[in-house]
Amino acid sequence: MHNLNFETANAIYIHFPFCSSKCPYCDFYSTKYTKLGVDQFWAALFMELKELSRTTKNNLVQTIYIGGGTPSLIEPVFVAELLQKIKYRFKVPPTAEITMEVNPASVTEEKIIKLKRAGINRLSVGIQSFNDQHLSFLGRRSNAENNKKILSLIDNYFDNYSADLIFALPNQSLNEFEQDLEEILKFSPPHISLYNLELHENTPFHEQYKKGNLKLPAEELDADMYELALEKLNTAGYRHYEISNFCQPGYRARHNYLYWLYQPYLALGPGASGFDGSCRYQNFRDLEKYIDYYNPERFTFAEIMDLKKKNKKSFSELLKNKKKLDVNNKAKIRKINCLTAEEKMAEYSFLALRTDNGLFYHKFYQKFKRDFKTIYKAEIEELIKNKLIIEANGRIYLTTRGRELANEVFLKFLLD
Amino acid sequence: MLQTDKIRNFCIIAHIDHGKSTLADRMLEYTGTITDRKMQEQVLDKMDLERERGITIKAQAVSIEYQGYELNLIDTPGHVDFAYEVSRSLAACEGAILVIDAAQGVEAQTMANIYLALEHDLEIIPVINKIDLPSANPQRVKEQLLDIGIDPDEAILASAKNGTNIDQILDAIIERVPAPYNGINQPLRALVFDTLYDSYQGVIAYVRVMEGSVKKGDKILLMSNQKSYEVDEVGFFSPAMQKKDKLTSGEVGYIISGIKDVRNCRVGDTITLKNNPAQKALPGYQKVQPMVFSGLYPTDNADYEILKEALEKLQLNDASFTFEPETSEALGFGFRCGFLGLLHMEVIQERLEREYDLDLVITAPSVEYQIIKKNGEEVKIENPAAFPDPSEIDKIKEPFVTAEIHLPEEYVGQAMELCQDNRGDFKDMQYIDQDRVTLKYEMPLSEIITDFFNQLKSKTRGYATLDYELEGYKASNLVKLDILVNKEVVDALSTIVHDDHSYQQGNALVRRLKEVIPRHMFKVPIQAAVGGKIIARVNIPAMRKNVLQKCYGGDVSRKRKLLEKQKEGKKRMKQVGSVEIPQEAFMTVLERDENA
Repeated sequence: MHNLNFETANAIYIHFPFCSSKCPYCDFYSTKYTKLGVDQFWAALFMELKELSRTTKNNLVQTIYIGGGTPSLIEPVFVAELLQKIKYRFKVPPTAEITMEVNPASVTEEKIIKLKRAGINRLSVGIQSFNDQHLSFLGRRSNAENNKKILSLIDNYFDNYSADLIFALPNQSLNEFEQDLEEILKFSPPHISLYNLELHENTPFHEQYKKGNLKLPAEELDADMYELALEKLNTAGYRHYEISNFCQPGYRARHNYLYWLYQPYLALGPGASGFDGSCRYQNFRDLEKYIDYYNPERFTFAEIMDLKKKNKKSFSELLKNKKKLDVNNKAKIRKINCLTAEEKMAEYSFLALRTDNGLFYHKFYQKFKRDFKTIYKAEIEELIKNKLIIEANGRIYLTTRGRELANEVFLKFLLD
Repeated sequence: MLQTDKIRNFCIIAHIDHGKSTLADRMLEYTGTITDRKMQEQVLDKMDLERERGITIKAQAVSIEYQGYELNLIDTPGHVDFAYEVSRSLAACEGAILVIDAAQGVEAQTMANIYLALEHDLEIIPVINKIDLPSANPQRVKEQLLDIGIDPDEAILASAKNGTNIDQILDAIIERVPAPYNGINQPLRALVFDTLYDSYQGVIAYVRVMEGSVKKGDKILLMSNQKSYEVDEVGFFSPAMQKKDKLTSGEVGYIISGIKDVRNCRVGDTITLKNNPAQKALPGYQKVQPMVFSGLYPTDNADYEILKEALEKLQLNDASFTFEPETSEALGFGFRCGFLGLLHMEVIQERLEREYDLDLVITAPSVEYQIIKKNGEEVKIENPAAFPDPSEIDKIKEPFVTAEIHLPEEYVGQAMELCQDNRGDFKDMQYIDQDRVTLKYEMPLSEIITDFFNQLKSKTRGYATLDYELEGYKASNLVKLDILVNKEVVDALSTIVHDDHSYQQGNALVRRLKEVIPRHMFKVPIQAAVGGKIIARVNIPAMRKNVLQKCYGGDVSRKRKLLEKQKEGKKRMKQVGSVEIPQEAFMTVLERDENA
């Protein structure tokens, strides 16, 4: 079994696996929020942080991202404690980007203030739409009114934040999407993420789709909406720096950007996926297993001595019931998949091409000691001919058409 | 050696699912022919495919010992594609058990079977099966039997499933089926009713000895081709092969004589002795000809040799299946294969895919056309792509069949309409009983081998059955319908259609192709053309958007796998020019629109 090694990781992702209700399109791991579950989760999470940090060397952490689930359900004191624990094991400079996802339905002005005080310096708010019908279709517990209210509160207290919109919804017209865009632009958020509705297996939407009860809009409308967004956001001064992400100058999502630059990162929590630079891992999507595994109630030496004095029998009894923390047996808690050189090259290529900088030949060479242009000569020429990519100054990057047909480009850079 | 009068040769005939194979199993169990209680259900249907589809494709034989008698059961194939094989199996018998489902009653194939049995002069023992079913209505079945001229008092009520009255059936075989003719003193005449290829022993001929006898060491002669061989072994089936000294007049068994090619020992042939040959072969021999042809191409051209070997192996066991190399501009190197019918074709294709793990592109089936050119030359063509230029053609003849459709009276209207739409020419309509009808149409075979049967089934809620028999060739006003994908003719998509239907079919076909050919980076026009003139066109619009829009840390490997899957999918398509065409596109030519 490979041992993960995070010596060079500068980013941490925390997965908070709780929601009050599950959105029918979402395939991230989450369970129902309960007080007991959350308490045990924190204890276990801190153990995992301790375990994984053993392979680090007082690393500098540039970005922390708390996602979920619904992290805005977290009591802000826990956020502060979590950041404390991270700072105890890593160097977190004041310039670090510390993001938390918030759901407009579970956040208040008080909470926004407290989160800021706890050390969060960037919020990512799941607006999704300003249309009540579409919000209810998406299973969101917020409405247009509340979305606007929360956005202006966040805008008030946070300099850096991002707002998400989902488009290409069943029965959504181009006009309705245009209204969503106009509405969000009224707030001029520093960062906007735009996704078309994608159906993931094992989600209620996917089930409905298979039964023919859910119809996605035509490819043409989906493309029209995307192009409309590009035009409007460009006019409003946003930089389209990744296929689905737009920012005002200086407000890129630094954490996500590290993913696209193929940088290693720690990921904690059940269902979280991390990368140490050569292996990807995913913690099992199972909160109970996670809590059991990181059973935090191990005894310190002092506790053992204390128990021994009091009652020998109860001590051995207790010991028997304790499961020992077995840091070496990672199979119990996560699946580790070490990538072949070909897989790494493919991932590197399509991640780099997602960004506006595209893929630099010299960086590819530095990383893999192979010449990208030589390996993919024919593919590059064909893609240029089809106006999907542009080659300039030792790099290739996607055209607008290339962004719309990005899969067609990425496919070319998979090795057999 | 057994006296001829202690032998009974019989078969079991039934409409599909009326319980033929179950009854055979029970008879084997009851008589102790098979003692293993754990025998696999339905011993006689050997191939997986046969079990799955509930049909018998190859004939089987088994000898049953019962009360001092040798009862030879010959299990016959149960599909119209194998009508000739069925007729040879029946010719090997003196009696037939006619199984009728007590709940379903007399069905189309029941009738067809009765006619066939009568044609071969077989004693019919009617068995009303499945009397254990709550919906069983033996009385109604008896009335139906009376209607069709069979004495209902002779019918035995049975349940093969529960083993009820199996003894009565066995007794009836002994009492009612005539003993075979005793021709022991005449020269050998043995009827080949099936063959099996074994890689060690060569061809195993399943025979019924009509006259004379045959033993190991005899020099035998196949009367159709005058080839001679020395007998290595004779024996009978119990149901495994058991050696025997001699097979004599009246008996059923096998002959192994070092024949290496099934095509040298065809079903229906007569085996005699070289040194004492019979004067005349047994009647009814035909060299069966394939009626339906289609191109088989490996999706990956590198698999060509594997496909060739697989076809050769399949042919070892199947003399009625033919293949020869063929090249298509669109599909590369492959084979044009000939089949007895659509079922036969499906069976072979499925075996290739299952047993040899081959990914195949299969072109739409075609019949064999006779083309008379203006210069008087006559050519036979079974690949539409190979049709001569229309200016050279004087006349095109195509095979016609007589189709018999048996169905409940309430669906007659829809069935007639369907036949007419498929160029059927009404011949006759008869009532089997007050609510069952037999329709007779003369139709081009090419119409039958398209989607006809499926549509007939759907229009009659599954109640109709279809039988057809080749009538002969007749001239028709036929044209070649070409399909152009991105302005290039794709030869493998060409079909022959009646001129009156060319617009309709061209339109329908381009619309269906639009559904199955994925969008490309550019607009792909799909056109239908007759003699160079475009008669229909649709455009597959260019791809506008194909992107996994959301991609963060947790998604990366999953997205890579999705992309890899997409790439695999593309590989399975056929690249024709710059367009990727999925396998199913080549079969959509077959389908018909409801309104076409």
